[in-house]
Amino acid sequence: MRLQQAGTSAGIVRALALDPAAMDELSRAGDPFTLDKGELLFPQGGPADAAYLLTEGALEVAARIPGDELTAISMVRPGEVVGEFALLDDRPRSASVRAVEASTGLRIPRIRIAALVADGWPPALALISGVCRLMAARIRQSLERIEGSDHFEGSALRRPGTGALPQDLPAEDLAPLLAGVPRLAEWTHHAQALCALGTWQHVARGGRVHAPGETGQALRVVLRGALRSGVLRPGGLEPIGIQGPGEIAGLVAALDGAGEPLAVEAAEETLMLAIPAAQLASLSEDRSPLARAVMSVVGRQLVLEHIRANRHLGRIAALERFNAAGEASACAAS
Amino acid sequence: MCRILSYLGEPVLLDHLLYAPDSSLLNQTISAQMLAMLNLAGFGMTAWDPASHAPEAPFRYRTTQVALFDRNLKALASKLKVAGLLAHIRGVPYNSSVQINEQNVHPFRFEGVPLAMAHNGDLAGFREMRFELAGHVKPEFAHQIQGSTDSEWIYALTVSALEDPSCVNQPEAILEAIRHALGLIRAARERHGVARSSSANLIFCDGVNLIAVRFTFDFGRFAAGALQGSTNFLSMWYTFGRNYGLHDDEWKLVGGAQAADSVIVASEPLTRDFATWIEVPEYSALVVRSEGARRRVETHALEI
Repeated sequence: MRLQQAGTSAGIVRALALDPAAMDELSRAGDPFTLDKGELLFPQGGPADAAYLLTEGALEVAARIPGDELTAISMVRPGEVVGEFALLDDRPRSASVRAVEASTGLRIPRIRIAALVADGWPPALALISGVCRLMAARIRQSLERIEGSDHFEGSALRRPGTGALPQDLPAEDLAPLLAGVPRLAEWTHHAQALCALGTWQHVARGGRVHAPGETGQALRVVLRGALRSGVLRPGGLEPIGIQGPGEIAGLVAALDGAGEPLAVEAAEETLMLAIPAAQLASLSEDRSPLARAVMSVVGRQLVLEHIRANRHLGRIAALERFNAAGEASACAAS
Repeated sequence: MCRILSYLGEPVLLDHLLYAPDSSLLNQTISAQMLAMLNLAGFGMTAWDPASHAPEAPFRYRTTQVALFDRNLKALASKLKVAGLLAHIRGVPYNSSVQINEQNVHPFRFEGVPLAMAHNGDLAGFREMRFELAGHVKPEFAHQIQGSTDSEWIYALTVSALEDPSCVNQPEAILEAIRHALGLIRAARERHGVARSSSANLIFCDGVNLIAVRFTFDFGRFAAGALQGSTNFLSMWYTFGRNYGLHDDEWKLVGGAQAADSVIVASEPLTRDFATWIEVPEYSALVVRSEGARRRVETHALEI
């Protein structure tokens, strides 16, 4: 199946910001799929083995929440991509996808793309880079939904960090620090080159790392300690996630060039490698082993960030329903 | 490093919590999903049954056996229904320095105190710190410390910080006592220069309210040691709903969040499919509060 021939490649090209010729070449790496109305494309919790490009029909993305309720998350229309986590990470599906109309499209298996990326095939590198940007856009969208919502738990808010900003440190030997961090195992052979990409930084517990809306930031790789990201509310910081050793803060802004979506502070005394966003842009479609090692960790972090943001939304929605039901039954009882 | 399971809600058969799900607490003895170690050093539970004699007093069971092989427990579990449960399997380093005895099996509950506690984690440097912590344990509790675990001391410090530990306290009072106890430990760690991360995932339950703490001292700051100080924050999950049981070949609570009357909190989901489970946020406490027949779930920040 050639997407150009399908006539709906424009949306996919737009979504992934790919060159149309690259998209057409990529279509050779995929297999066509068809679904009847009501048929499941993949279940929540199932193995993530492929991404899907929809050319006709409509798919519904839904997730189960406590109480075994199914909540619709979004609709997928022709020209859009679904299940793209699978190209970046092998963790189980975070939502289920079902056809609400008879649908057709292209299935892109992870194993095939991984082999083409390993070969340095430019359309595959462009695809991964495009998927990363798409993920950044989706994370920002979820975070904006959290920020725009009035529903948050006042008791969960924390005093925002007001301590000193990160301070630069002289570079050290990165290899021993990487050795203790399983998430960065792919980086151990590139320790020296990675050191040259960025600056070592230290921040004390409670120190501010960046405020929401700040631009021109670096992405920060946590080597020791932990960062906390969250939404600033009138009563304090609503935590969204903790980035421990091997995790990266600041990815969304580094990928889309807009301001930082969240406040980030030091949950613990933290040692970081700060890599300028421009470095990430130059590595994203580079075929060198160093670039692929960086992008592999970046891809997994994006999946994690997206899952965190969506779980946060799910948790708030479920708790609100649970506690509101309690109020209702109490009123009825009285 | 241990696993914990707790439940508050409509009475359910103990077997359905301890044994039946594909990743039940007892199955986690040898194949936990989120912990790469065996949990062979004992099983304990404190459970509340509203239909029993003196229902406010829990029944307790503690054994140093590998509970998977315990026929007595299996027989009891297939007969008893519980409305509240705090159960624990103990995981320890694989060497002869560890004391395996009944006094070290969780949950801990002192005489005359409704509140019970189980711990998942390990306080590095505890043996050195405990002498200065002793001054913060009330004398009536100090003589009840029978085991050699850090966990029993966390419990003793917490109940010592309660104004009236002999009553069923409001969750706010328990939370304050937990904050106080963790603050004492943090200060002691600093004085002793402890250079290892230490997890203090704790679940407290008195049969009425339940408080689950997901907390690590100095998370990620130091190189990870064997079986502790991992680069992952120790897990804790919860789910809610009603009519816990086997539905569509899956053990779960159903009925929707709005109709929920029961809550499970555990170190990890009881099923391989954890779509309906939610993580307790890091550095936080989850409070499950009973108000008459209804329950309320809240997240509280822990700033220690």
